[in-house]
Amino acid sequence: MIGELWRRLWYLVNRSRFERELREEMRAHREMQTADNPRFGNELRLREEAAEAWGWGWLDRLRQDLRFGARLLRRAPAFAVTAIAVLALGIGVNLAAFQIFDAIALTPLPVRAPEQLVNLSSRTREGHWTSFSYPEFDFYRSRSTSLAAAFALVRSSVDLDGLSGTDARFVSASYLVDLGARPLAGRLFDAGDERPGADPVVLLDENAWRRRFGAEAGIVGRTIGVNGHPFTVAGIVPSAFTAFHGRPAVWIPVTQYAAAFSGSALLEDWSAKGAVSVYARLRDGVTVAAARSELGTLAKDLHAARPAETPDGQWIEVRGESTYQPLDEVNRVKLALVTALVLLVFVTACMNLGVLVLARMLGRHREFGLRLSIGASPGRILRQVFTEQVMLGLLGSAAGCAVAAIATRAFAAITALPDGITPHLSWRSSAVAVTLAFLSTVLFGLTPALQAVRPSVPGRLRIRSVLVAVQVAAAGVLLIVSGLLVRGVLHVGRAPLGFDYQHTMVADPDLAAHGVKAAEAAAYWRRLDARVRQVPGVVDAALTTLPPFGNRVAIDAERTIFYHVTPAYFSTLRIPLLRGRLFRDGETGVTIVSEALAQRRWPAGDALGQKYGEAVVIGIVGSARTVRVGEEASSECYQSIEPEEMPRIVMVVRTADLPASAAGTIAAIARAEWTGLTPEVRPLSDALQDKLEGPRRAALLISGLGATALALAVIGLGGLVAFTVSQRTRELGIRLALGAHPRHVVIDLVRQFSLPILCGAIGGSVLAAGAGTILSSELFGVSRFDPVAHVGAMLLFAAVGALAAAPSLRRALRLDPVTTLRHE
Amino acid sequence: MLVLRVLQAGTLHGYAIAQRIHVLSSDQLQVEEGSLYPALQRILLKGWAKAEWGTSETNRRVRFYRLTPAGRKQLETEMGDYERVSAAIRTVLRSA
Repeated sequence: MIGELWRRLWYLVNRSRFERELREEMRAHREMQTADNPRFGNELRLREEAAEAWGWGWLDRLRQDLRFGARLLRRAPAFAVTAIAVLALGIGVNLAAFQIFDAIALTPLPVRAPEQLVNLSSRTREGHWTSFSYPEFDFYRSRSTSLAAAFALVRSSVDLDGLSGTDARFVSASYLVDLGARPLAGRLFDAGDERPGADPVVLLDENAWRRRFGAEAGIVGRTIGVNGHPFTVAGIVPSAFTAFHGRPAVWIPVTQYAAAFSGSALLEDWSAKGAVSVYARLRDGVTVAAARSELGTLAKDLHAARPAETPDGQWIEVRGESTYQPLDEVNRVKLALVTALVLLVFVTACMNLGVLVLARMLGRHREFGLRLSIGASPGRILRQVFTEQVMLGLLGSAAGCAVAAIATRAFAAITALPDGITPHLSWRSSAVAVTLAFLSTVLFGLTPALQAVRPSVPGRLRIRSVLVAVQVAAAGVLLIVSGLLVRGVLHVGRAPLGFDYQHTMVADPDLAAHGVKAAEAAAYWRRLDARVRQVPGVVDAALTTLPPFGNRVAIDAERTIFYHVTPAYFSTLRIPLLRGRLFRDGETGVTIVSEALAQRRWPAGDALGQKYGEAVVIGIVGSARTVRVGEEASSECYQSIEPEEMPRIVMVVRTADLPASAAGTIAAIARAEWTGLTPEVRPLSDALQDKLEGPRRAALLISGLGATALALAVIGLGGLVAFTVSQRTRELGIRLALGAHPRHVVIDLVRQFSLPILCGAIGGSVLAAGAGTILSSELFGVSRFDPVAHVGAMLLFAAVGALAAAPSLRRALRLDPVTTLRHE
Repeated sequence: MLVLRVLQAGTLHGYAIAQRIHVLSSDQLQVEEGSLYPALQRILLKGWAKAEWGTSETNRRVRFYRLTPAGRKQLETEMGDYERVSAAIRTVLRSA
């Protein structure tokens, strides 16, 4: 067997010599033949048969096909360029999207032994906490034998040398070293930093060091202010280091939390359940299941030891954390949707290619007929077409890779990928590119070819109609969805939210982080309220548990949002009292509901005086979407602030003119009222812009996809019309010569596409409305049937399509009957 | 099989192989002589024979084919198979 294979290869290498020898041998044979036996047979055929014996015939045919295919492509440059451009767009966009998905969800974290890393969360029958109190974390860390190391992580923001709102991570000292970080300068944290009374130290991130400190070389060892307290810069963390939750500007040992937030009891407070996120590294050879069972036992021990502070029946969930983004349910659905939309671009490209190839195959019908009639088998012709398609696919995917390189950068910029996520051309994405190219070219190239080889005609038009319809539908979905998203973003700016966010700001001193107790906090707010009201320009001030445009929300199953506020809240945010009265400060047992809630709960009767939960409804106010701005159907319920909530509330302030001037004054007052505070004061309009950032990016991204699909569809439809016109040149010439009205000719030309385009448009609308359901939270109250988005997208499509078809149609009308007939 | 059988007697060139088959079959097998060559190429591929250039009795440059041990074994197998099949056919024909 091996010998045979070897001889085969040997033949391939020395092919010309073998063939020459055979020719020579045969000539000798014929010369020796005597006249009485002239039968030798057709020498050429015998030689071919002999060569076939070595099993390399397919290679010859392939070379022949390739040469023929290349010649055909060269002779039809318009087709070649269009097809390759279509493929490049279709494959490139998908490849780019896949590269990003690959980098986020499939590539291991660029840290040491990522497969050993796990995330811990606590569960009981009632609920699920993704974080722990610090003493609880400390208990599991010190007692567990299945964990080689456990790390606490606190996301926070601090005031760094006077700049508030600097992103900070408080971490266990071993965290950075264990994940494999190397300091760019200085050192990382070590066990010494966790000793009680250790000097406060801070690590700067490379980016922050460059941006904020001008990459100053002597920074290590210097003292900088964290929330106004002196911290020594111990080192610089390189930007190449990636870890959980993205990269902050500064790293601080979690044991020094109180040094940054004076008065904080984070390290001792068992009741602060949501304090720290916990990651851990499994000991060598320990499975996730084993760790889960050990930690479950420890949880029981802990409950036995401290029944008051830990829930009964608690167990610890251990989850592998080896890739960057563990996807939750909501994100998974959205990711699936984005994937579907990206795939639609590919579908459009495929359909397009199908139409192009179909048109071309129809044009080659005569060639195929001729070849079939002189003895080529249909299989041989299909193989020829197959080779041509694969060639097209290879060229297309090469061009697609180039497009992907650009598109990836654009995607990354639009979606603001976390640092450290670097999409690149991996073997996985290369495989995807090749698969996509193969699917598109072979599947959508061969089907029309099959049609062309078969003599029957009617099926051809049907397949073309289907291709056109699907392509229009796919492009339509993308255009409509992008239209919906854009409308949503625009809508927020104009639609009544039910309150006035202009000239207001929110002040958040984050008392809880500084360990301020409830009673002290209540006093603090009283003093602050009194002083803020005296600031020139301040009109009103109020307290609330849920900052407008913030991320906090308290919500029930009916999507009613529960606010705890002071009575001034309504006047500060200009929410009108419609009926009844407001509660007095601190009044309990009463509640105020929004108009929407009142109408939903008591559609027939009067809401006033009714019981809602434990409280009596005393007032009805206008509906105001301050937290979930995207939710049209939300309703609100307001009650007094409970005393124990005092450390976790914020203040909203209304000013007469632009809030920026008063912001500094208010921040100074908030700082002065309690030592060590670093309050954040910002206008609500800024907060809204932040809130809209995500949807705006999404709208931009989907619009990009929509534009790509539109470009593809236009290329396809334009090409199709051009082809149809050229195919019917003769007929049109005769009709024009016989005096047909040009308008009728155009209508006739367009009519054959109108049904598939209409079907496609309707299908696209329906699918887009379906996608709108998933995206409802990003639409900010714009209906998924929004006529502007739907009709607008279709009109845009029609307009651009008409532009693309116009040159061909004009050419059809300018036909000179005599020329066309003579041409034939 | 015929070619292998003819080569068993000794080294021969293409024309001689054709002649031998012609003669041995007592003119019963009338085939295109050229079809010998694809068969020879297959034999070369299988490694049942080796070819080398030499000079014929009529002073022509021709290629001589020589059976290899693998070729001899192949011939034996094929002969065996053939014997069995023809014996079986004979039995059937006789008893029917």
